[in-house]
Amino acid sequence: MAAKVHVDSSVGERRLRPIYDWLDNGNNKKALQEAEKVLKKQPNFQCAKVLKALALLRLGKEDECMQLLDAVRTEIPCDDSTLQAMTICYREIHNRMLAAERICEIYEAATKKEPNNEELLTHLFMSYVRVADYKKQQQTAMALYKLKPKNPYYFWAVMSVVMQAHKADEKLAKTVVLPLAERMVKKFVSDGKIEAEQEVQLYLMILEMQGKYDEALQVVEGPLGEKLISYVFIPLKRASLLMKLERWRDTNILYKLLLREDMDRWSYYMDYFTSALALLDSGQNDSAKVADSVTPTDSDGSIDARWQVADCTLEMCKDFLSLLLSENEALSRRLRGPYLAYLEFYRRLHERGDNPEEFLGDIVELFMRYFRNFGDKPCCVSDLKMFLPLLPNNRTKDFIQKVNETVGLREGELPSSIRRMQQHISSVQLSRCVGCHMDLNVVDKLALASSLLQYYDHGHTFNRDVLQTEFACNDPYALLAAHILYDVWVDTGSSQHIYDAILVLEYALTVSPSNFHIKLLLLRFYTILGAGGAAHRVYELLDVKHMQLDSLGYYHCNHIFVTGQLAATSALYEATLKFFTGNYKDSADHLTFSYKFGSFLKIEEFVEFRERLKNSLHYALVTIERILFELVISKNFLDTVKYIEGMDVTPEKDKVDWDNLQDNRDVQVITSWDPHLRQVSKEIEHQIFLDDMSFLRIRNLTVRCLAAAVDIGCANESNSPDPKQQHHSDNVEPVMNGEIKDDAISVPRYETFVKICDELLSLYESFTANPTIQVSQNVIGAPLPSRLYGYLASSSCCVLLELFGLIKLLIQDNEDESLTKMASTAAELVTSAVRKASGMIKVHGSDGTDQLAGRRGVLEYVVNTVEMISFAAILCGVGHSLVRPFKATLIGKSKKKKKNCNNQRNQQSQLRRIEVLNKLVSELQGAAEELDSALEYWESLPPTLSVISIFAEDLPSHLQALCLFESEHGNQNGCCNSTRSGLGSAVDTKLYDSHMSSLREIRNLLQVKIKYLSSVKI
Amino acid sequence: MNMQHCNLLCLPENYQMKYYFYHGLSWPQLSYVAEDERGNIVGYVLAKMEEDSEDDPHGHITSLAVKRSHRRLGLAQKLMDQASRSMVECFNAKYVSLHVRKSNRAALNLYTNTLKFTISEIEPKYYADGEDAYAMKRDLVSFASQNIARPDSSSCHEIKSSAHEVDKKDKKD
Repeated sequence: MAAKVHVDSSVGERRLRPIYDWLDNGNNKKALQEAEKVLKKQPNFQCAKVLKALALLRLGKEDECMQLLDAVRTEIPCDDSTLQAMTICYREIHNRMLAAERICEIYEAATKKEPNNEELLTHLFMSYVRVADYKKQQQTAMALYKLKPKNPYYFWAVMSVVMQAHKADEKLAKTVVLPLAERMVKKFVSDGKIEAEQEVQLYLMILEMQGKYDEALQVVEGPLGEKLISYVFIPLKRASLLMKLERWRDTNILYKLLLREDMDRWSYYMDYFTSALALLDSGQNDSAKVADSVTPTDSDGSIDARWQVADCTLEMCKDFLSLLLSENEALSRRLRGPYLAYLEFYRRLHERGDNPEEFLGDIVELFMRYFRNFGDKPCCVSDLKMFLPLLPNNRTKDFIQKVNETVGLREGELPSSIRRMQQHISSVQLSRCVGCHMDLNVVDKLALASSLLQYYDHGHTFNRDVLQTEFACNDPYALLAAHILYDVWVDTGSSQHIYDAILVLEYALTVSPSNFHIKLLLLRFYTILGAGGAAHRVYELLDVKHMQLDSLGYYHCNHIFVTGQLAATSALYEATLKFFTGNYKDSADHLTFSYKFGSFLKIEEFVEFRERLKNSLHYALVTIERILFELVISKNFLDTVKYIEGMDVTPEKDKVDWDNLQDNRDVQVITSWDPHLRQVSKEIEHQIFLDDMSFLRIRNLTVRCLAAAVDIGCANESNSPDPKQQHHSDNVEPVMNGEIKDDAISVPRYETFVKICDELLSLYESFTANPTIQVSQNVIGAPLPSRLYGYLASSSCCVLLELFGLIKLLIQDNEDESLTKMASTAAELVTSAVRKASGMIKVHGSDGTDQLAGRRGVLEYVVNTVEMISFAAILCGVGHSLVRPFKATLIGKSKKKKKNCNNQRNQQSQLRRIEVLNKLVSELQGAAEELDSALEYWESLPPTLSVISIFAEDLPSHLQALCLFESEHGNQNGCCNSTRSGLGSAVDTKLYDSHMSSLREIRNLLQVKIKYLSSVKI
Repeated sequence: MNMQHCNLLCLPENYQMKYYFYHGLSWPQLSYVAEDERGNIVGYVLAKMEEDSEDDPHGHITSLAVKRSHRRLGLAQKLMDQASRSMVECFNAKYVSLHVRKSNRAALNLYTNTLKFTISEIEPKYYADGEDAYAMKRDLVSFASQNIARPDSSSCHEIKSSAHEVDKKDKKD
């Protein structure tokens, strides 16, 4: 920062230097003192003032900072250092949108004062880029170009026009905006002023956006094309343009030539097939016609003619594939492309209803041809996976048999080399992919898992040279075993198998600490067992950051709260939101850089990327969940009020942009070798998205209702005789402008509240009327079921609706009976929820129960209940502030007899209200205490993992401990349940500690809530 | 640009996102990714030009990574050759340099045997964890001239293809 700044007078610069230094070192106090010292000598030194403001801001005094800045702003500063410092200031203030506009304003003012200052204009342009004001960008860029006719400025203007098209509707874009951009570039072309590659690329982009592919092709092939120096660019661009123009013949030949150069490039094959089949369908069967313009490389005659004809029959395609294959087989290192191309061609013919077998032969043989060459590569199965559905059911056995013959291991024989081991791994993965594991019964599955662990154990011999940062080469065995154990869990529901899978994976992780597949599965398995704490430790090992917070957030962040790990939840929400808000700022920087470097192609991508993150469902969900979380943990009503004010929740306005919400989850992150039907399908993905969207809807309305209720409570209080609470609600202007009723609650505020409560009610009713079905657990990669289900299963929503009704009645008059009824219904609902929770805990703790299996469900129910109590407490607080004025007047009357009371009935009804409210609060307190004692009982249960018979017991070393089959014998011999050692005990401890810390945190929170409740009694 | 969507889990290097953008925007021609059929990234090379040496232009490989499941398929070599070629064609680079952990024998093997890098010096404690690094160089002048001189004698497919391209360019010039 300091380095960039230059000040007019060297004296000034010398004086400012120490301030910059202190600021750079983070010593803001010293910076402030220094700035004040300078200002004493030179009271009108603008830059010093701004730096003082910056120091104030960094000391947390935002108000003072803003005052000072506003003062400087009116002086219209024009020197670069002052403006730069102001920019830095604005960027650090809380309200980012406002700040970005302010930056524009200061540069607007400065450029008006000094219209010929190139530097200032550039800054103005960039400030418009930050707020995406494309029109003004264009004007500023043109002004710059007029001032200094440099190409980049002109193309900034062109790009700004293009971005306007991006924003405008399609018709306007195509008829007005883009043609304008095109004309602007054409003018430069005809004047011969085009200089850089990026300018040509921008031109191409404009033509393509208008669908003018012909002209684009001319540009690529014409003199301007020579500016395109990135060597991969031209042939690819040409090919894709030819494709868009449906010039199939030319496209086909071009891709053949490209394939000749690189026969491992999958996209070439795809386009080759597309063009060949289109050519076939178009019926232009004149193979005699020699290709024309598109073969510039044939002039030296070195290329075989077979590469230069368009393939327009299936026979020709087949010949071409065999040509590639023979070329490939002559290479020292064979490539995968040609083999996979056969399978792709088979797939395409199959899709068209042609008879692929007739042309290409037996599908099993096509698979085997690949497998014989690449069966020993880890990419083997991921390559073949997409083609396996082509294999008819009656051929799978044959296929697997041939695979096993190629691997050539006898029953029980262990592989002698790493290559053979990898081949064997591929063979197991393939047989899983074609469904061989699905038909096995539980005993056979366990036997299979056990035998894989033998291979795993043996595989350690090949790990000698493997670095810690690499995956161990035998890891796939452990992963496969874990997948099979998961299957057994799905079949039996016994948590024992998940526990065993955890043991296997924990062990594998000690050998191969960087293998994220292991960590992802562990994370999932711990979550299934309700061990949020243990899951969180694994999550930390994953080192999730940046984009992953969005793309993988669903995996952990969405579920940690209901396991009762409150501290971890808070940290995760914080980190996630920091990424999203930070990104919004950072991506503005990327945009300005793109203009500076002239990387026009990237600008659109950056804008899209930015929008994508802004509209992320996960972002919206975490934003709302964080607010609810803070409300859950707030210590007293004052705390709650403060938080809601600080968050600027606007009840009357729905901030979620529902139509544009995007699902940015990476649901393919768990690699599975399950058959096609048990992969994460589009339907599953869509359902999970809808579920979470529904959850967001209900939670979003909940936040708004709660905020509206608190708002009403505050408004009432601030107008009450009680002056203790000076509530400044001027930040909610639209509501405050409403008229004030005699009971001191503004009408729009009340109406907003009623309206959104009704919305919540009808939403809730629509969910209960049409329940959705959870995604099946038998898809290992599928996200865990949405929290929607657990939430609807608790009576949270009903309690809230009752209490919102209660608040409504408190505001109105003369409905005492329904008031009493509502309060008691709400209290009953809470009490019965607590009873249910303690019942669940009792059953859970009784002898012989699979404790781990139900733990997650019970915890989720408990946490939802605690949340329910917290919200109820907040609403009691609102009720409190609504009836307190009554009490105050009552006391006032009895003491001073100042006010004239209308009638006795009213007074009595006021007393009744207080009574009802107090009773409700007491009942809630009672419920909270009952829940707490249930949790105390739960806490007192011994770490009875011994209730489950664990396989991995009593075996000499941990390796054998992992050998499931043998330990099952151990079980039968009854030598289970002795002391645990090694890994087994480490896992037990993790599970137990996690559970205890969850319960501790929940109980602490309950204590806070009990205090909260007693503070809202009257 | 695709790298931002790339699952950072799969690849070892975890630079700040800014760093990727910086490379992508400053030298868009030098960095490449390898994708699988679904568009997932299975490898990448992140390269730049050294800014402080105008009279001795040379490139630097910031990071090269290939997913374990896609090793030993020639991807790293292809990525490196593409980056090197672009360095020569776009920036007239004379050589390309990189750093590698002393312990990373697989990478050392690739650099010395396949890509003909030579060790120029040892930089002690180069990595944050205290490990030494080999600084390595590859001469791009001979890399480029080789490709032009003997296009067909090379057994390596990638080199053949690039030679072909260079030929074409020469004719145009």
